[in-house]
Amino acid sequence: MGRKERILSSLVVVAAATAGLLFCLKQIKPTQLPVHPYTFPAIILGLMDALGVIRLVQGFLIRPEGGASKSSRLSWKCLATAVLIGLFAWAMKPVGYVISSFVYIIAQMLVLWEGKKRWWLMLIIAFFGSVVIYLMFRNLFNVMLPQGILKF
Amino acid sequence: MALDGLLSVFSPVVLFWNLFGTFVGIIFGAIPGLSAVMAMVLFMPISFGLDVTSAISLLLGLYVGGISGGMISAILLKIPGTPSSMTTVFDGGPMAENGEASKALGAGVFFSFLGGLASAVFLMFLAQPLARIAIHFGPFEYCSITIMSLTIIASLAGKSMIDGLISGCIGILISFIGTAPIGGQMRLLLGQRKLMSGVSTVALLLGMFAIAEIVSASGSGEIKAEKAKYTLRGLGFSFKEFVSQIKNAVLSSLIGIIIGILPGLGGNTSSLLAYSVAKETSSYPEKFGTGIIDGVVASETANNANTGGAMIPMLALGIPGNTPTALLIAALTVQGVNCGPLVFEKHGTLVYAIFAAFTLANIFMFFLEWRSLKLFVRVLDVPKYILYPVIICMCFIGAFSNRNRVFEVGLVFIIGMLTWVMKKFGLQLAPCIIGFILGPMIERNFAYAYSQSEGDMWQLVTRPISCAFLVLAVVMVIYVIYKKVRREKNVLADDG
Repeated sequence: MGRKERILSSLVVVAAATAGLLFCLKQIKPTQLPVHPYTFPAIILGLMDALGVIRLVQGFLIRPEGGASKSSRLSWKCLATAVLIGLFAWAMKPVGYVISSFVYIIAQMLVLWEGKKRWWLMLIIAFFGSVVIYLMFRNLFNVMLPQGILKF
Repeated sequence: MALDGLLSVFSPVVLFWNLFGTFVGIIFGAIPGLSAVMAMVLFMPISFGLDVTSAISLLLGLYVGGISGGMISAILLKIPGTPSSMTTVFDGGPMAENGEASKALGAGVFFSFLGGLASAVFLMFLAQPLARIAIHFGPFEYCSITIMSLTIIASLAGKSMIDGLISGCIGILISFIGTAPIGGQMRLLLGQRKLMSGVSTVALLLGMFAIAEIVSASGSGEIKAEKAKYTLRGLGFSFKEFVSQIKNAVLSSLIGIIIGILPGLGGNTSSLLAYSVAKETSSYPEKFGTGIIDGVVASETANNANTGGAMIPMLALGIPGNTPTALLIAALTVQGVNCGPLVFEKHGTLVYAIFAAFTLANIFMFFLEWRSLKLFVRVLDVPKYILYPVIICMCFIGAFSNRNRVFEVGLVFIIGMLTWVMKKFGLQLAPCIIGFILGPMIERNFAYAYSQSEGDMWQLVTRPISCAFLVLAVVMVIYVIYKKVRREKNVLADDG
């Protein structure tokens, strides 16, 4: 991790911990200090704040490097995968497990697949990952996955 | 009485239920999100219709298989099948990446079996005296033992102690979300009332290991990886390697059993503690996390030793050490057996049948997993573009079935994204998980101790057992710092 990333991430840690700490301190009444629900979170956030400051100072002491580090680059596949998983999680309730997982599996394979695409294989896997798994969990393990718009 | 009990599990019907339970347990353990507890809950109604020996054999099989099965996905997919196998990921995952999946699995299977057997021996011979010692543990002792366990963060912090501690703090903060242990007040809900029940361990682990890992891997060259190369002979490791792991296995077994005896600490804590001790007592601690057999051995021996350990207070005192043993107590109660000090006198034959069924479940687990090693390793041959979407589906199902609500699925995704950001920030995952597991324990026990002593927290130091754990915690921290300083000095000397 480069100097720039370390300073930036430390700033995020310090800002988040400070905001959290201020919020927790606002909740605590001095009479209930040791066993108040916000006492421990406040202690931990205070500690995190201090550690963040130390990390920030360490960041400034690191020798600067030229160019962006390799780890900071984002590939489109990475981003697409995150978006697809998010959409799948969001769609599971309104659309149902079967349809959302079927569409997700096909879309995810399209993103990750390299070389000539085999559509029949994609469809079989999507069918297995959606319908077969849905029925298996419903009938064998009594897990009632969201039905959504398909009622069966 | 003892012989009758031991022989009663060898009837074909009882053997069948034990084997069936172990097999199903392994499957439940291997699927991320499904757990031994889930399997036991699912099969509990079936056990009501069986005779008491068959019923307990079925449930013990599910318990033992479920705990051990977690290592399969932990090693092959870098996603712990059960929370207790999370430390197996640290070295098992890299071993699989380095083409040593069969060795990691073989070691996991064998040392799981050894851990289980060691705990069975303790269960058989020392259940009563050990349970009598454990009953002296109060909130002060639990508070101290949790403080001691938190020092693991220092040893697992990796290159930067500051980064490790920040990561640990994040884990503790996540664990504080929801209902406070004392007073029942809601806190840190971030405007989301569905967080009242807090973040479950399953959601955290699935998000951290599955989502974050798959998002990262999809952007890297790992997708294009060639077919995994592996060889499998015997259990995948040599006799020399076995001998080198004896000390590690003995220590990890003891840790697993002791943590198991103490109610509420659980298999997660035992594997974390065993991993940390193995690392600190090793002559090559810097290799931990890069894919060495020691990490897998420590984690798997401890979490399986924990199963027998948790049964000690269950049988001798009627106190469940964890959720699976609570279910075992429920199943026994339905069958008309009340666990507690009198169970050895009133149901002596059954107690010995339980000992034998537990041992048999471990033996079945060993043979089932050993004979399936080649099959398991084939998972690595499945192209990642097929494997990843299916894993995501299984993880979402696991998250959903954990609390039967879609909200958990969204939570897994958010945790996954947070983890991804943490990794980008250079923060390690291990301390975060430790903080998450131990955070609520330390707060709860501190609050209990504070209420019980009316604010006299000096008892943490004046009570002998509590004081001993605190001293041990201080010693561990000093030792870790000393080792770090010495290592850095050596590096500087080598550079010079």
